[in-house]
This record gives sequence, C-alpha cells and structure tokens, in this order.
Amino acid sequence: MKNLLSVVFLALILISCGSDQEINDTKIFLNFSHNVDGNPVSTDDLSHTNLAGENYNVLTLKYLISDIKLISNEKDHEKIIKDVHFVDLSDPSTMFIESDIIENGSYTLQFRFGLDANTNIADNFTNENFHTTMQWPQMIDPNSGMLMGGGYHYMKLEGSYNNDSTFYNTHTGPTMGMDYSFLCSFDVPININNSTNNLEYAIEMNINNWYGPEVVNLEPAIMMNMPTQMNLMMNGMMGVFNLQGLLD
Amino acid sequence: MNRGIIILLVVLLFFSCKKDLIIVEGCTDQMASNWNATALYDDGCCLYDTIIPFQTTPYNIITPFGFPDMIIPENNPLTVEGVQLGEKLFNDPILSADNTLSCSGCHIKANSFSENNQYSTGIDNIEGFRNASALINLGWNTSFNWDGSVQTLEEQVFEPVTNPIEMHDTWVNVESKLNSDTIYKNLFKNAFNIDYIDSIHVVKAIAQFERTIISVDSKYDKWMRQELQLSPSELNGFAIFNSEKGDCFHCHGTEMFMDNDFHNNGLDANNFADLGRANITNNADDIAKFKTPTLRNIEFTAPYMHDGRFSTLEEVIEHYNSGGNYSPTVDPLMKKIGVGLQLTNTEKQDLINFLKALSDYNFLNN
Repeated sequence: MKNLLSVVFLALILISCGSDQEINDTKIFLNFSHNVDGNPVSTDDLSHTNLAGENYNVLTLKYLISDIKLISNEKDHEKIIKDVHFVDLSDPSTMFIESDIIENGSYTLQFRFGLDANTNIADNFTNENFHTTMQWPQMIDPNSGMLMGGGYHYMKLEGSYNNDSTFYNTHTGPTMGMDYSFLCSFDVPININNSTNNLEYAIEMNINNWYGPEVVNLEPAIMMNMPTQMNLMMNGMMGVFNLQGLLD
Repeated sequence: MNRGIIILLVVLLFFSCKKDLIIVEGCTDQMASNWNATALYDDGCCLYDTIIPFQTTPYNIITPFGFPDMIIPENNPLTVEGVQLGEKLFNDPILSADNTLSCSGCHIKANSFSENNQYSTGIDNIEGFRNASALINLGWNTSFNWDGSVQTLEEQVFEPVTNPIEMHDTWVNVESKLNSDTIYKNLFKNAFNIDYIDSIHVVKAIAQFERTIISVDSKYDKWMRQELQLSPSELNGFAIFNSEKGDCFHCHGTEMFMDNDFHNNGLDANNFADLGRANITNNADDIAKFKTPTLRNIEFTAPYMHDGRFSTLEEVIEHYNSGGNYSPTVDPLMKKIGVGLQLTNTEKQDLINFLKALSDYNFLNN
C-alpha cells in the first residue's frame, strides 16, 4: 500500500513539473484598427494625401485575411485562430477576433492578406457574410482567353479623390490568374505561460501605406491592372500592417 | 412476530364485520378513456383513444448552384401543406377589404412576380410610389422592400394587407373572413393544427409559398451547367458585366445577381422624391439608397428602378453609360460620374443580350 501511494505521489509530481505542456485558459483577442499615417480615417474631407500627392477620403474599406495563426517559435506546432476573417470598416462586429485557449509557449502571429489560390475559388464561401460583397467573378475573358479575377476580392478600398465626385476603387485580388495575396507576420513576441492573463493586440492598418513606397495612384479601376496589383502587394508586404500589444 | 399476527387478525376481523363491502372491478389505468376512479381491481377492460399526432409533409428546398443555404425561420419550416395554403392565399383577393385585389394582382408571374405598371394601384384607385418588386428567390434576401424596412418575409406580408394604398383591409376583418370559410379552416388545420385562423399563420403560409418561388433555369444557368452555349454577343456581354468595363457585378454579382445591400446609383442630383433607406435608418448617409434588385428575369420586370422611371433596358444601360448624377451619398462604385462607362453601341447591345440570357422561360410560362 505504501508503495502504491509512493507511485501515485511521484506521478503527481511529474505531471506538475510539465508546466510547458499544460493547457491554461489564456486566449488571444485581436482588434482591427485603421488609420492614415496615424490620423483617424476621414470619411468626409479629402484630408489624406498619398505619396503621389493625391488628396482623398475613405468611404469603404472591406478586406479578407485568412489562415490566421500563432506559430510556435520552436516551430514545433501552430495554433489556428481563424480560417478566414472579414473586416468591414462600417461594421463594428467585424473588428474583433477571439481565439480559443492557447497552450503555453512563445509564438509569432501570422496571417495571409486575402485568400490564397487554393482557397480563392468562386462560390467557395456562399454561406459567409462576405460572399456577396467580396465576390470577384471567376471567368475566362472570351476575347483574350485569359482568366479574369477569380473567387473573392482581397480588399475593396473606395472613396473620393481630387474632388468629391471623383471616385477611386482600390480593389485588390487575383488578376489574370495571378495570386497577389501575401503573408504578414510580426516580430512582436507572444509569450504564454501559466501566469498569463488573456492577451489583447491591435492589428493596425495604415491605409496610406497601400500607396507607397511603390507609387500607386488613385484610379477608378485597377482590377485588371497587373502592375498595379503587384505594387499594391509589394506595399502591403512592406508595412501596411503592424501589431501592437494592448494588455498583458 | 406475535404483534404482527395480532394486527393481521384485527384487520381481518374488521373487514369480516363489514357485510356491505363490495370490491369494485374496472379500469384502474388513469391514462385510459374509461378509467374508473372507484375501481380497486383492474378487470382488463381499459380502453384507449387512438391519438394521431399532428403531422405535415416537409417541403425540401434544393439549394441552387452557387447559392447560400436558404434563410428559413425556425418557427416557420416549409411544409407541403403550408406552401399550398400560402399559394392559395397569395392568389385570393379575400385579403383585401373589398375582395378585389390579391397579392398576385400586383405581382404577376409572367412578369417574374412584378408588374409592368410604374406604380401599383390599390383597391381605392390610389397609386403607390414605388415599383412592385419581382418576387423571385426571396428566400435568399436578408431584407425586403426597396428600403429594406423589414428583415423577414413574414414581416413583409403583414404590411400590404393593411396598407391604405394597397389592400386597405384590417387583420380583424381578414381573420373573420377566413374563419367563416370552411375550406380555409381545414387548410389551416392541416398546415398548422390551429382551430382559429389568425394573422400570424396567414403570413407564415404566404411566406412559405414565397420561399418556393425560385427561378434558376435561364439560358445562363444552362450555359453554366454546360447544357448549351451562349452566343458570342452574350459572352461578350457577360465579360462586360463581370469586368470594370461595365462594372455590373459589384452590385449584381454572385449567382443571385444581387448583393443584399443598398446603393445610391446616381439617379438624381438633389430634390429626392424618395429618401429610400434613410427613411428607415434616419441616417443622412443612407439618403437615396435603395436595395439592389436581382437581375434574373430582368427582361420581364420593366419598368426599372425603385420608381420605375426607366421603361426599357436600353434606358437603364444609358443611365450607367452616361455616368449618372453626383450627390453626397452616391456610391463610390459609380466611379465615372458624368462620364460613364462609355460603351459602344455594340457593347451596349452585347450587355443587353447577356441580361436577356437571364430570362427563365420555364419559370415564367409554366
């Protein structure tokens, strides 16, 4: 009997020592925020100026990010937070993601801006709230024989520029069969241990960074424009988003 | 032990002294229809009523290709009995005060359940102020009426019955008329298991029927199913529709050919006769915004726009081709205000030919 008690006691000690493998109750909260060079987004005055010197406001901002996950810094595991998330500047309910419980470890946050080619297929998300507003018809141009668009926009950024009645549509997405989605990962360390409370972060988008350093002009239509889509992707990769810790 | 025997003997003595004692036999099961409360001994004579549970026949909707799952309220599932009743009510002028106007009076099947008049006329010969919407594929709409004033079909059906410029009836009167009709009494009993017909079940039945009005068998659909080929002109129109050249798809996209959203498409610069969505939200940002209609069967739903101002598809295309008018809430998708799409005559015709490929003749004629 004494032997049995000793074995049980030792087993309890061993389990308690494995703290790195424990699952605690820590969650990650991601809040989406948007600014133009640090200023609040203007929906009225053409108070923003891009690298090309064009003045503009923002009337519509909708975008998709996908494969949102925490990657263990030891590269031994990943935690998917959400497969696809739709952000709509006019809908506060889209500005927030809550993860499941995250196990202890040190992580890096990563997501894809837009949808990759394997996912971005017409009618792949018919029951999602973004299906109608973000769809981008997937079809072969009967004249050129080339694939036009396909599946869903990555982003719809719209507003007025130069004067109130001139509109730009910065719409990004797959173009002529090319996948212009890209990965965003952040150096901000995310450490979770037994004493960690829920963690809250802001994913901040500086809208003006879509238009530089590669100069992108505000234009009414860019959907079939591969060089512009490429420049937008480059600008996006170079720093449209950053991650800011809010609470620990 | 001895004490127990003594008690037993006393009891036996007591009963033996009661000469009038009768042990009543009968049904002792309280669940039986002939349960005898005085019976002490069950003689096996219990009778039971045969209870037939209320049953309806499920009406299954097959989700068309590329459509989301239909939005069906949990408290109003589709049944064959409910749908049939709803169709009868939809076509019956009994819902109007003078029994002259039915839902189908303004929503005519040959017109994709809209009508060719600019405005509909109610029982008092008063015209409305908006064009009757086509009633197809409604089960995939997230709001109803041009201004999105209601979020469910059930709510929508409530309105025209009592609207003074439409059926101008009262629900008390409608309920009275329906409850004095034995055919309706039976139909409502079969559909909903109710003995008194009320407005809630009237709108439920009509909403069920409206959810079954599905049109997805146009030439375009057959082309998508690879059953036939579109003409070169229709194909070119499809490309214009789905590119920023025509830029129709941003509002009329997906297989539903609508986006369940509200837009100001630049019809007027000012002096808006109808504030549209702003009437519901009281938000100045919504002035002159109206719900995007589906383009399926658009060939047969003239006149066009919320106020039926355009008589032909050619006029509609010309509106976009010339760019429309600026106002503070005009949609940024109307990106060439005053300039327009600048389509050639051939391109405009190609676009119209594609729009006509969205006509579902099987639906309209059968």
